[in-house]
Amino acid sequence: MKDDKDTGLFWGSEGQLSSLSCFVLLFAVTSRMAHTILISSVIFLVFPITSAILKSSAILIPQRHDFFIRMVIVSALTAIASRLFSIPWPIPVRDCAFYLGAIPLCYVSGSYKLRFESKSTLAALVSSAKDALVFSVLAFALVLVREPFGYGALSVPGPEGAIEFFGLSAVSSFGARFVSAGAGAFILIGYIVALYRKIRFRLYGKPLCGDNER
Amino acid sequence: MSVLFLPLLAGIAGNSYLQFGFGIQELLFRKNTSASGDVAPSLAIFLTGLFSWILFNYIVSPLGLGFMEAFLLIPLSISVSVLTERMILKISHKEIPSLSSSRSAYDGLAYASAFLTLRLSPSLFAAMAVALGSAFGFLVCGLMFRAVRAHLDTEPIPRCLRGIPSLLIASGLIALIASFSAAAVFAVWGRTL
Repeated sequence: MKDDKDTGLFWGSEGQLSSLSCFVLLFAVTSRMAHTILISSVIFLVFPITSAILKSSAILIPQRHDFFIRMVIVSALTAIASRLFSIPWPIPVRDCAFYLGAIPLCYVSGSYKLRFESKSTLAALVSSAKDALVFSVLAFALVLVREPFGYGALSVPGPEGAIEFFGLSAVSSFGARFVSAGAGAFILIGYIVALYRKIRFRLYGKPLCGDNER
Repeated sequence: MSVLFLPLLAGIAGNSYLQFGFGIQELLFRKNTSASGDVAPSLAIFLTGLFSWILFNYIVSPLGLGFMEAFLLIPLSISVSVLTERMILKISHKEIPSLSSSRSAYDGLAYASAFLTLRLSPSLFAAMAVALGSAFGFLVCGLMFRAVRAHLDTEPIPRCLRGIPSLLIASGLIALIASFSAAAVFAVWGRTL
């Protein structure tokens, strides 16, 4: 069995599908591609910048309240990023306000340690950008299944909400529409995690069940 | 009566886990699966919801700082969660552990409760009922997943589906029922407003 350093950000025990650290975002924003684009863009901006700021100011942060200070910094940066993205896309930002608030929680979970234990500011920045890329790839893979089945369309964010650019009216009466709902997301992600574990077992010999599972 | 009952039902039906996916680490990944382990998260969910409503309606918004919501909610929910856990540990005379769950506001459950209470509650009593409903919704989920887990342990399931994948699939089936009941509750509540 290979250790976490060999398996990296995706196949390691702190990867997105192992720890399900960004589950809430994968679950919620992958029903519409407009929301996926918005959240991925915010994550691409917030994760690397926060890591760079925290890494470069590590000496200034007192040990006793370090976690709380980090949370305040990442929350502030997320709020600023949301304001920035509300200039071109005000309605998608309003629609995703609930989930934009969850970005700080996703930042400090999962591969946070891998990112923060990087040797230099640049390494922390690159590691965070890679993590954001892993999230984006997963989110886009999910949305490309969920949105066409659920809405019969694909959408991009626009100033007046989601702009649909590929419509299939026949899909609206299709039984598989439920994959765009929360219930469908749970089931879809459940099977994806099972498939991921099977592939990980074949590639790295990591156990099929997680650490706390029988 | 409906002034309190419907917000309470709305809090339960608008379950943060089944409807929005918050709290997966708390419900599916945690090691302590006993009922007593649910006390601190439920109390934190209730207190965060109530406290944030009071803070935003009586202090933040009158000062014209409502736009700070996006920045304040996460630090606020983490602070309330950590303080609640410390309070419970002090009362039960246990040593204070690393407080890792409360540091993530119970994987966002406390944050979700605060957000929903702010959005759904027109009055202080409604805020209390919605926050209580959110906490009760978490307790119900905890109870259900303990039962589901016990069943899954005895069922012949393929190894790659054991644990989290099968719990996620079970969550999907429960979420189907929950979304229909939530739609009914919110439709009735909407008519009474």
